[in-house]
Amino acid sequence: MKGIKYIGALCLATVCLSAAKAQNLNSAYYLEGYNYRSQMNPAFGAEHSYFSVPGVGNLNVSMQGNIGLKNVLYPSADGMNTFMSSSVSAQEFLGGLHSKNKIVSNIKTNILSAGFKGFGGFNTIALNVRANVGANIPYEMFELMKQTTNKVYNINDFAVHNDAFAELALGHSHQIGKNLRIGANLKFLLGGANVDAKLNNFRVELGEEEWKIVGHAQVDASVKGLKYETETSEYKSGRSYERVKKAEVKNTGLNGFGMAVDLGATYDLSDVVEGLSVNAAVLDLGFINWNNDMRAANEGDEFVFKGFSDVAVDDKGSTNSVGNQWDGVSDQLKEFAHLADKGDQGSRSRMIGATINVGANYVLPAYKKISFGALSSTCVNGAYSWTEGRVSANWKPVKCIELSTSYALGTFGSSLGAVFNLHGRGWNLTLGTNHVIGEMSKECIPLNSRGSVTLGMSVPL
Amino acid sequence: MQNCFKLLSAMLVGTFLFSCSVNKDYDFSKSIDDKITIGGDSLSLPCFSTDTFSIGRIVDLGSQKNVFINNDPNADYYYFYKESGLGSYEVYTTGPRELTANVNSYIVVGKMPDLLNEDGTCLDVENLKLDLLINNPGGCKVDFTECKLIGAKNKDGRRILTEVDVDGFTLPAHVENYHVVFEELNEVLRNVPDTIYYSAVATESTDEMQIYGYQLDLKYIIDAPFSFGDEFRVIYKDSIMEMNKNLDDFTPQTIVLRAEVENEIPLNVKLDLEAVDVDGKKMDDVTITVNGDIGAATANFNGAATSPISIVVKGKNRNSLSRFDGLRYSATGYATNQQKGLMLMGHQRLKVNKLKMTLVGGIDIDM
Repeated sequence: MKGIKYIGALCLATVCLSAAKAQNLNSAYYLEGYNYRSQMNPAFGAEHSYFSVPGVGNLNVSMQGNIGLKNVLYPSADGMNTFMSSSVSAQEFLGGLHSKNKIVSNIKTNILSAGFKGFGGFNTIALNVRANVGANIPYEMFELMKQTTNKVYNINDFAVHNDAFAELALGHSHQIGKNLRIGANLKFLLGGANVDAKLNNFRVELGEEEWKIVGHAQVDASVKGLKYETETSEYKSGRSYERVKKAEVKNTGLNGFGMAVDLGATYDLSDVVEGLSVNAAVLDLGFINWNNDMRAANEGDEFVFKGFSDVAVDDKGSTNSVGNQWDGVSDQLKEFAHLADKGDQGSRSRMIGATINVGANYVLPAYKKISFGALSSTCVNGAYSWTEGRVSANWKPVKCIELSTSYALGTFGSSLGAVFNLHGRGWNLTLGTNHVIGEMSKECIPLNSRGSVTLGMSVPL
Repeated sequence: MQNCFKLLSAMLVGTFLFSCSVNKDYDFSKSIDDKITIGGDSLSLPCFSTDTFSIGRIVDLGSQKNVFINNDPNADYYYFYKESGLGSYEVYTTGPRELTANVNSYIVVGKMPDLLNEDGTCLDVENLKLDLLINNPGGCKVDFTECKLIGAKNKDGRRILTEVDVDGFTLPAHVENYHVVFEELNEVLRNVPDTIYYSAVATESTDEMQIYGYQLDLKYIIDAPFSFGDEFRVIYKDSIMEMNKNLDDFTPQTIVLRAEVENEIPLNVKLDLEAVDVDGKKMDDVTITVNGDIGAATANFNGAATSPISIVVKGKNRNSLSRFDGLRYSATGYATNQQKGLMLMGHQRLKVNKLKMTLVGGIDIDM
């Protein structure tokens, strides 16, 4: 049963520890039959007017990271060991990590959307619900856990983030001249919940003469109806303090509002090289102003342990007994580590994380059903930033079928993507992935933290 | 172009096939070992120190009755002291010119502290003398012959005797508190006896008159500073137990303790330790190595002697220390030629500084 507990914890960690920025189906960036390309570059229009099938118009579930179950669980003859087991060497475990270990996960669900020609271009309207979760765990944190030794550990950028919001996007793309096409999406963002937890300037100094931990832990939770439940505890010295026991949410609802824009352009370079076009876009350039920032933070700034001095070994009642000195250390540690309710800090604005896409597409002049594309995507979002370069080969064997396969290399390593799009009169179905799941356990649990599935169903008009 | 189609088709099929790969080594129906290990190859905890232990705290003998080691608050040194009567002896004539008595007096040493009762203890103390005081109110001189000092010790149902011949002497007539000093007391005391006997044959001789019996009164005094001989050995044995319940689910691999011991006592100390399991048995799969002895203070007492020592507790197997419950130790205090004649004083102290614990190989924790 302990195993189940672990699986639960690890799955929770895998799903919950992620960051921040919904990724679109980049594998379909150059598939003209995919109706939602305007969400990756607003300059792209669709071939036909359409409306989506409510709820499943464009369902995108993705997770990517450079650390996964395979990094933390190791098979053994009797079952499995965690990375903290003595049978897993530090070299084996730490060798598989990166300086910043990230997992970002997101769900983007299209509730309703439509695209139509008008105003001299192509127009889109979409209502999406997005949830982003992410974590950034520095290498030093794992090193501290696995290979604790007398050295200084600078654990910067340890952060966990979670937000959920709805977006109403209005888009328009417009042809300007023969070669240039531009577009923009204006997004109204309705915030549901946002939680940011981070360790600031966290430093663990394990000297031979002194152990010192400095740093500031802070949780900012903007969730309507959230309150921290606190309880009174006592230090060994008898002094009492209030500590956060848990968080409760009652009568929740919308808790923030924001705006963002997507801007994009494509330029046809066929005059220079037949079949070549370039494109660029900036997505999600905006913020949400979150209300009710309920903050919890640790009280102490540092914990210092210099050992015990003048220990009275034979006199347990002495103020210098090990027990009494340990009580002092324990109080200091509690003061440093416990989270106290800092109350409602009011509102705070937070960028939702912008993505910059730059790409080029080359359609074979001799056989225009095949094209090759390149796309660079960079998400600028603090600790959860990532970058990816992807090349794709796209094939449209017949009018109603489009296929694409792609290979990407970036912050999270390499991945293979594939898209299948089928469309005809009155229907358009897209099934694709940016990252094939790769290795799975016997129970089909992904062993790497990379995988995405996109299902799109819409009705062309 | 046909090749292009084939390539694209192969890429698509390959992509999906790859996505279906199952690693059967990862089987979540099997258990996940919840034992974790914390700590790398070596982790030292910040050092700490003990307060000072003076001789007065370590050898607290003053409260025990009949103990002949005392601490004189004025002199501030330890010394042997005892003054007591040994009894009176009636001497009767057995003939016209000769009277004979067997003198069998004894000194009860009394309850000795545990640290002096261990096997191997050798109480080699310098300048130790037995001062016999005899009153001879009669008019006859008395010859003491066949004189012996005998140390007797009861241990484990056996009676161990240490017998030393001492010189005889002639006790003059009409004397009070006549002093006879035996310098051989040290030899009797070496094995820490329970009782010290003085045995002699007293023969009175006179040409003057016949006396039908008079008394010889014997008293003794032992009074000497507690200064060491070079064979002085004192052994203290004790144990630190019930550590397992505190360690609970924590199993260290190897523990290295390093310290500097500051010693003002003119005794070297050698430590011997053995690991004991939860059943109180010696653990054969745990080795304890002690490197270095605690050095004695030097003769001129110019500061304490500082000695680095290290103790390595190591399990033969990774799980060896899981049943570890404590340590049985013996501390042997010994003097060498350099400490010969040095006195044990109440203010002399012992202090452990810079005690540092290093965990080698981490600690296994059963979650």
